[in-house]
Amino acid sequence: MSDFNDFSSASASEKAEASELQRMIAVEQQKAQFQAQVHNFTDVCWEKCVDKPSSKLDSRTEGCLVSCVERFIDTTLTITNRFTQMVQKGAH
Amino acid sequence: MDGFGSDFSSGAAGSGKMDPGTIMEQVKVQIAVANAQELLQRMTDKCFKKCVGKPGGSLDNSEQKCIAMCMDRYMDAWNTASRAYNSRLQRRERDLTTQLSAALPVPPENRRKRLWSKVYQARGHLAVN
Repeated sequence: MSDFNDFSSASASEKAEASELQRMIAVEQQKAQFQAQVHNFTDVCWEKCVDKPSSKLDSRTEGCLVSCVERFIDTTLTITNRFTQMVQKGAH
Repeated sequence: MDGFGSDFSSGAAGSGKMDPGTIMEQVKVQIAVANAQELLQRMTDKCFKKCVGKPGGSLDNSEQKCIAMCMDRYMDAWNTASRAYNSRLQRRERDLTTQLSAALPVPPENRRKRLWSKVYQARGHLAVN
């Protein structure tokens, strides 16, 4: 009985198929991560940029949403960097 | 359990569930469903806040209209955020590629072509439809 996770007994073609599958699944996971981030951005930026839902998204709101996403990413990077520095200083 | 390994290796149409194509289909469907659920949950939250004042005995006409408009606007906003994020990622990748190729010594012509094809492959993983 060949255990599915026991690659030592798998043939070369089985191994190749399995790693190709892993690669394809990793691609889908990356796409899913991207979409999860977009959900977050939309949530936060809706609060900041959209007042009353109208019949169309006007250019001012569009611009606000785009800037919001960019600045949110910048904020994330700023916090990550500064926090890393703080931790490194604390370690001494 | 005995059929597991051999089914996968044969990749036969008869093995059904373990065929890599079917697995990928299932993975994609599961991800799509989770994505839709997330969208609906957040959309409901936002549109309830924006459109429903003091909750009455039912949703009146104006509330219904507001909810419909809100849904459309929310999806517009989602698409805008998606494009903005994608641009940002592409810009980052471009910058990194520029930095990387500036840091590396110039290889001979044939090696250069192979290196760039690797970059394009990696970029393919970042592109999102």
